[in-house]
Amino acid sequence: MWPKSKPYLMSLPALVVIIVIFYGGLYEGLIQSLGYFPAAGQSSFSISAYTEILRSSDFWLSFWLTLRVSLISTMLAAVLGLVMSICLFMLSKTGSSRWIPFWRRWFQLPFVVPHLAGAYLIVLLFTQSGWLSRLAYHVGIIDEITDFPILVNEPFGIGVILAYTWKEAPFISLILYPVLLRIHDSWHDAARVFGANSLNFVKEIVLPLLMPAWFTASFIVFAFTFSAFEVPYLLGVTYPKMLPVLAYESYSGDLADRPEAMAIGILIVLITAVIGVLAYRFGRQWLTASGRGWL
Amino acid sequence: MRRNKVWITLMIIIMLSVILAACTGNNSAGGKISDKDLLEADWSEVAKQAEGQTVNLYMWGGSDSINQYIDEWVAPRLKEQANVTLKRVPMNDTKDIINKLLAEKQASKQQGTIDMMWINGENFNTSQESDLLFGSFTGKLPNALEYVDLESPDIANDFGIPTEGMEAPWGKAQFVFVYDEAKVKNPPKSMEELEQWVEQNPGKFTYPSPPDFTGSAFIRHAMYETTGGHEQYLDELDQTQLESKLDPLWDYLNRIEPHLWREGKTYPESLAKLDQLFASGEVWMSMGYDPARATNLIENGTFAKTARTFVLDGGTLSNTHYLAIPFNAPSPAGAMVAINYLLSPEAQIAKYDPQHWGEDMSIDPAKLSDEDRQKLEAIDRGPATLPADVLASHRLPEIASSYVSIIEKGWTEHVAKK
Amino acid sequence: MNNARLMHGMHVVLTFLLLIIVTLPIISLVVGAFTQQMPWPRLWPEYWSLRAWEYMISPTSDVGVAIWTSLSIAAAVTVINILLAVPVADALSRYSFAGKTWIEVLLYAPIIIPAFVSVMGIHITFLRLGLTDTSFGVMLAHIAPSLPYMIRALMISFGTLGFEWEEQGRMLGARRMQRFRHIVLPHILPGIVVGSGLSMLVSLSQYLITFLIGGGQVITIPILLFPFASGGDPNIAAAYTLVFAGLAAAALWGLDVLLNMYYRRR
Repeated sequence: MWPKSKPYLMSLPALVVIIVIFYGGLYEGLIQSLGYFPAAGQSSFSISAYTEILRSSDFWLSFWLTLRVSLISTMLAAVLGLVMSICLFMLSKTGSSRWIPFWRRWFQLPFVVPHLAGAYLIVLLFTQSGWLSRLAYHVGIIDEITDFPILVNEPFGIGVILAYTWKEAPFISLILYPVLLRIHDSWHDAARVFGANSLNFVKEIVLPLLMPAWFTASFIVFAFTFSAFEVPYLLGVTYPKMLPVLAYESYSGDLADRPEAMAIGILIVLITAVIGVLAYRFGRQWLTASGRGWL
Repeated sequence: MRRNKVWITLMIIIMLSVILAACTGNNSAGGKISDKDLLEADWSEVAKQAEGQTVNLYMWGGSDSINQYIDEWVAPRLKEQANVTLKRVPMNDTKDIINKLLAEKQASKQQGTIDMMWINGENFNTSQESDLLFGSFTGKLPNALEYVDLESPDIANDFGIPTEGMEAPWGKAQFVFVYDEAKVKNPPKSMEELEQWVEQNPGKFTYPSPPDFTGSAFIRHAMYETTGGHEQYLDELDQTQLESKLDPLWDYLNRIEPHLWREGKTYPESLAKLDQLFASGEVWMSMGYDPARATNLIENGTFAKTARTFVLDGGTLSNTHYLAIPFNAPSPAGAMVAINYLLSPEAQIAKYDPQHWGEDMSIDPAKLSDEDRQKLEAIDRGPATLPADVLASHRLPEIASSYVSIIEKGWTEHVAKK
Repeated sequence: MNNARLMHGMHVVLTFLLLIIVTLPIISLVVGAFTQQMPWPRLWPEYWSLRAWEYMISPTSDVGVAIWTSLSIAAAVTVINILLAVPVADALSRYSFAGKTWIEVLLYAPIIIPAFVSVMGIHITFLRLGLTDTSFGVMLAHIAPSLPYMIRALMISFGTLGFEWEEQGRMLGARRMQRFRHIVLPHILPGIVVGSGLSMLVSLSQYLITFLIGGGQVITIPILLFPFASGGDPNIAAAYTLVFAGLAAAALWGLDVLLNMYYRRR
């Protein structure tokens, strides 16, 4: 009997902590969104908060904006991350560069910059009065400060997309690299014996092996960019706001608006949960790390 | 076994930091005369109780010169003279302070962490309505009684709401516009002139979007001028009456919108963003409630040396900002003593000096001693700051803060969404 | 010789990507911290200025406090994460039992589901328990977003351990603690280090959670950075960012050093 309950006991501490702090918080948020907020004198359950926001055009505009921005950011980061890690990998295989560890570290620089600073860096570079604009002037591409396209604080969210891509591409390549490392040297040699050149090798062997991890990592990035707050707050636009910013601004408004704020939050949670389920389906082997799958 | 020692030492260090981390952030509160009695007690008793206390001042933290005035000028002198330690807590937005207090009030937290806060206007209104304040204390402060003109309407009323002594006036602000003399020869001095100006200079002007404080104020200026003056707003108006007056305002703002920065498709989120645009030359004008801000920003290199300020011919909004004590302040006696010091002539004159902050005093210059008045007049406020008499003769009163949110919502409806 | 040319091509692509994407923002950051606003279209500042750094050094900037608080919270969170994650990662990767999948899902969810919604919800409860405005409360709130990373890193390590080694140890008479210290621990150490790095990074980078729970009393570097980054003063924002980057890099490097020390002593 004892050995059987051992794994449960081992999981207990972590579970208890996460359930109390994380799920407890979500639960309280849910309750508040349903209108039960004794602190503000509301103690009846109702879904009026949800009907209110689902009916409001503000919410839907924010939703589509957020969806679009996260999708594009994720795709760009995924492609970039994939290319980065494969290039590094192929170079190390052919042993042509002793600089590989250095490059790897360099690629991970965006990690040591927090998201809100990353957002601010994008501002430094991409505003009309930013660095790239000045470079463009000196290279002769533009003549007037207003000729430089508007990339930050504009309704399409380009600045946000750029900031996320810069920060998340290294994340994806970090996830992929260990998978690549598990490709045995002998496979590359065997492939060559069969007449495949490096490009074929990449296409037929490397890429398919990476797919599960790549998909999972991309889903994680998608969920993250959909629900993160700091970058859109700094780089976004007056109207429409991205969903997490909308949630926060409602939260710090009137106490009477609190249920609406929490409702937006819960909706964000639901959406990311759905994304998570999809990620799990694709990357089941990745998560369990049972040794048979490719992490 | 050396490896073990390494691990053990590491563990100890980490445990210590956990414990230390748990201990930081606590505030001490003295045992004391009960809070209610504090408001009745003699000043000397209040001062005695305040000795040794630490007070937390919650205020906006995005200005290095203001931060340094508090930390490096005020705090050491307060400590020396009254043995009260002043701790400044930087905040991003005053609204966050109010929200914190609201949440604490809901949770019945009797001992908070905020002793004093820098607020006015809408935030004061919310605090009063939600019972977030300590009580009427201004009348107890010796410096307030001696140097402040407490009866004057622009001190006794905060955006139309009587302060009832629950907040003490700390400084005065007047709205000015900032422009770059090198690029703009003749700045527009009225809304009408502004409309012509933006047509001739497209993309070079914008204003922060409400609910930013400054942006909201700009709109009120436009409101005064496009709807026939400010007097009509001093009466009690209900929402429909107010809204019915505003059509000319929305027309005006929509007319100038296509000539603004980014064709008005977006507005800078905050004054700070507008300042950035101005500093880098993307727009040619900025604005704000601090007549000396331009000088400050020239001195620290942010603004070009050719930045100057102007007021509208018809006058600009002028208001007072205050310090208040929340209901659950852990050291209210210390807070009162600190506020009293901040109202003293020496602190106010130092605040007026652009070397430190460069902001208008809340105390009445007429009540100063001759010596102090000489000190005041010796201060040079810099090339970008308008002289005091120009400012004083172009003052307009603020409207009630309840109207402010109606106007802000109206802007979102009628201008932003178009 | 297809290979060689392909390799060269890849090298070029790599370097190009690298430079543009990673380095350019960093350069502008460094320049931004040492200069004042430059009127367009200057490419290089007229004159350098240490104004932002004078402010940093002055006590007003609270940089020292913030560094200490940020680090101690991150370290505390990481230690707790290790203690929680080692047993559960062990259970999940080496044992098989009913409900394992559900437990994994529950534990990994905070990577996907944003923590700030949960923090907004739990705020009032924290208030009532007196956990707001304290570093301890902030530390508790940091556990949720960082724990999953630690668990995952450890699961990868445990995944290659299996039971055989411990079995042998047991047969040779080693007791549970000894088996752990001499067999399991060395094997999972790389996982602990990787997990710790991620955990520290996540904790150091938090803004919204620290702000909501800390209420202004808990000063970390992101808290100080925010008002300046949202427009207040770009030079000082750049300076704070560099301080943060230095802090994060130092934390990661410190972990690396510890790992090397450990390996050298073996």
